[in-house]
Amino acid sequence: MKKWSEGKAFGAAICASAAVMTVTFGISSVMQHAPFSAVLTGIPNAPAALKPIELTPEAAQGRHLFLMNCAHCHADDATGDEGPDLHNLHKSDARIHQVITSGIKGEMPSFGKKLGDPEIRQLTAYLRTLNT
Amino acid sequence: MNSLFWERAHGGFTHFPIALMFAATFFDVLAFFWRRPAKRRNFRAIGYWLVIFGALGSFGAVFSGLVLSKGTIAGTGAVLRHHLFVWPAFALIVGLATWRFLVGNNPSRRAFAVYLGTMIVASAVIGAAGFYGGEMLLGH
Repeated sequence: MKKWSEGKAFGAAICASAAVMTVTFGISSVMQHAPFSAVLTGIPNAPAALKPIELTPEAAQGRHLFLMNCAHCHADDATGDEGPDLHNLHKSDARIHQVITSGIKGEMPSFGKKLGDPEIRQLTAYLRTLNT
Repeated sequence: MNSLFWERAHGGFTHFPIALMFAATFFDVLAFFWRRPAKRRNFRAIGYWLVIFGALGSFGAVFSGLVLSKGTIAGTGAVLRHHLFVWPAFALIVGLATWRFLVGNNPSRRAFAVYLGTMIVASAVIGAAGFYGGEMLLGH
């Protein structure tokens, strides 16, 4: 193959990079549509956004912690993804504390080393706001 | 195919571009500083193929990650931190591999120095993407 000049190759590299990113982001927007992603992952998409509610400072902090630590598996709106839906939990605060601290073997990692008691209380306060 | 399949596929695929880009950078650094021309050529050839295979592997990593996250570009929390490094890393890998493929195995020393500097930056960004990806699973 005939080799390109370095400057010309630099231009081509920028174009290739931009083209690949454009295609990738295009594919991602297609994947965000419910039927496609549900077929590929076997997980139904979350329902439409839930109505916003007023949060106490403790629950607001809990929501921040939720988004940083839990949303990856339970979805941003806590309606469930890899992990279960966290709305209307029928568990005591102590049980929620225990699950967050110790995890569930083979299903959920433990957060005991990452989150202290005050953070878990804040998380629990946020989870309680998800009761409808 | 369910989400567990894609989680495992993503975990498997991602190690190829990370390892291959790190190794490519290592051999390109050796090629840049080595004095004997014969060895230098060999190191450059190794770096050349590693960066190309690394770029090819990155497509599998990105696609499986997109399926796993249902096409999420940014996300929140740990996913957002991971993505903040993933997209620049992917763009850099593709750009660097394209340049290297088109120029071939004998770029000028100055151009190779710029390429090498960018490779080091790209490796750091890829490492950060991998670190925050691992944090989602193991950072507790």
